[in-house]
Amino acid sequence: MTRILLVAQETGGVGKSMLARGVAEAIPDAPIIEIESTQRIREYDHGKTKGSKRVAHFPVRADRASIDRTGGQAARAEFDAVINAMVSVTMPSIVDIGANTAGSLLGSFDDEFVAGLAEAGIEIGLLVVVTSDASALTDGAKLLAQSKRWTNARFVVENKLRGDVDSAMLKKVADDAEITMLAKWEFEPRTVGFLQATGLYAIPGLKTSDFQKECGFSEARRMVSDLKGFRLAVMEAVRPAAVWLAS
Amino acid sequence: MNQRLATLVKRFATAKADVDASNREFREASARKLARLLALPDPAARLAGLKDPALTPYDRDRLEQTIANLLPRRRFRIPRSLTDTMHTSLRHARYHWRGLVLLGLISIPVTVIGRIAASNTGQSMGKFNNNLDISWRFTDGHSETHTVPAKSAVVVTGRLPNGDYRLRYWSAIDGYGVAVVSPETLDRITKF
Repeated sequence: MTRILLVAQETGGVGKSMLARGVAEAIPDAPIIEIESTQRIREYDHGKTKGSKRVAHFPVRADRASIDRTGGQAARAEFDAVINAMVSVTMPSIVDIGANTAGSLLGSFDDEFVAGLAEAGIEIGLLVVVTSDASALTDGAKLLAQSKRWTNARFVVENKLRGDVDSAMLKKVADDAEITMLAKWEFEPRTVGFLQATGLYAIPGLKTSDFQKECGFSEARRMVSDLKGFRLAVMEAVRPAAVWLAS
Repeated sequence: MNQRLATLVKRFATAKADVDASNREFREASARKLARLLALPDPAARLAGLKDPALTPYDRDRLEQTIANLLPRRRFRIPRSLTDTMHTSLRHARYHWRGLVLLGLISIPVTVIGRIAASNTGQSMGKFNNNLDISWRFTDGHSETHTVPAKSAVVVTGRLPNGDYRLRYWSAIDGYGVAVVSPETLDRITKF
């Protein structure tokens, strides 16, 4: 039995890709399927010119306006390659679904597709990221309801970057999904830049001396400490999903 | 546990150890910085050190405390609890003034009576050594010299501001008589 974990949220800027990276850090051999307009997860194959790559990027060019206008048809037409990639996985895999895409992609999972997955011995898990934004909560609830029929496991991560989500509302949105939390982190501008450029991949090998020349000893040490702490926090937030995927 | 799950557990443990080591290093560096700042003789330099981002919040608090200890003490103020009690008492008096007036009316005669009783109560009692002629003033206002027989009792009721003693003597005919004698006379004529 092969497992696939979908990391999804229709609303952008909630930390989907970072949490997908957290799963990738926990399971270092899990391939990543990235469905985004532009590739973001580059660090795992950085500088690699030969051989198979860990991240397979599938660009979705449809914008929000055309998706709304066509009822999702504009994005759906681009999912064939993604679905082919999903049904052909042989290892536990992570699928990072970009904003404005999750609803259309999950909506295209009809009975025939679900039956095909079962036949191929593939189980699907869904990890939905929510924040205190009303749109993220609404979209999260929709995705969880939409996927209940065909998912084998469902997880919700409450990302507190915009404040706490009301616990009663969170339980209602999550339904029977397992809930975890990622606390809000305050970073210095250089730390944010580093995270955006390299994700979590380079953090374990970081030393104070790597930043010392650029920003001084004290700030460098603070940056390293923050980055290592954040990496662990992200991994802990996705731990139940990662354990399910690796099992 | 499969190999992949075992790897996952190991990676979480490594990440945790990495964070702990990093935090430890940060704490140790902060402690060294704090020690350097505390060794500075100039309080202003220590004050500037409060903004040092290398300090952990705990060490910053400790530095702040040492600076606070160098500052002059605050002038004495009546504890808030005491002023609160005063305010409460005044408010109570405003709301219960009838009871307080009644208390005053009762306490004045009680105090006067108490003072009179206290001044007429003997402080000590002795006996005369010999038969003595002493001028007594009786309760009806008249004065008369009475011979007091030896061994009869005499009561010292008080002392005047000039040091003289006031004696009280009982006569079956005239009632209580009062006489004033000097301390030397009292020593000579009585035995306590």
